Amino acid sequence: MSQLQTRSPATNDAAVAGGPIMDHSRRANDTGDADTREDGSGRTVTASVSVDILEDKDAVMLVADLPGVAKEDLSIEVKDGEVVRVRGLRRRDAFFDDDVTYERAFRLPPGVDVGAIVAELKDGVLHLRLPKAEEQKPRTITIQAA
Amino acid sequence: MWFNFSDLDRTFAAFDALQREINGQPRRRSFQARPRVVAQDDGDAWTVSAELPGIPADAVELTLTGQVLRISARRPNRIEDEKVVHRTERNGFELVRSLTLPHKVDGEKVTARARNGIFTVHLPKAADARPRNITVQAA
Repeated sequence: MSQLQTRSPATNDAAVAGGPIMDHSRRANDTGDADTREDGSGRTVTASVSVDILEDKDAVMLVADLPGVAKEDLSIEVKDGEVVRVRGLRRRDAFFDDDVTYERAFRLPPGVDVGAIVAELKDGVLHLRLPKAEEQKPRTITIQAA
Repeated sequence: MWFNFSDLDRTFAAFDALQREINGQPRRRSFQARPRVVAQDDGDAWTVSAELPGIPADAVELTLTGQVLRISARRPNRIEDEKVVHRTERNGFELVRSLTLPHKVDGEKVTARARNGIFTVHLPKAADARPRNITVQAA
């Protein structure tokens, strides 16, 4: 039983100019199921990944849904200290007749301490913590009395 | 210093646009407000699977009444207040599904587990509901 849907690329690019908020509301109207697309071979399916991106004073947190991806099938790659790419292989299961590759990449904001990135995969959800370098953290400056 | 809000967002948006160009596909939601459920007849058993990322096995409520299997699980939309939100694409969801199985199942032998956000229930059929091979005698 295939749950795969093949769709023609819709024109969604206008959303980019308006920024992610606009982009998001537009996609809320999308009744989209899995984001899937069959490539030329018809055997490999690439799916997009839904993420939350949050920030506190110490770090940026990226949370991604990756249902069906085992830890050993997940790779997180930082390229040139600038781009973080998440790629997960979901092996065929009750929902997909073929393996599915989840993939998404983000440009890192400046000031992330790349060496201190921590990833945790739990119940099919990736939690990626991107700590800010020391000089990027908010600092309270004590004002000395004269 | 906090990261500049709009700059961060803009960078992400620009990169996504590039991704779309590379992949030749628009980015869409990869998850829906109503999780998918699939039931399979495996001959001796039924297997019911639900896509529930973020839900540990013990947070799924499962009841079997006769041939009716009810699954419910909920993932709230929850973001801690003290965090600055740049993106929220992961929707909360609520699953409440009652499935009437076409065969009697052996309630004592039903097992369930969750692995990597996929919840699976294994329901062995009752002995008299299993397929049986019948030997055809030669005349």
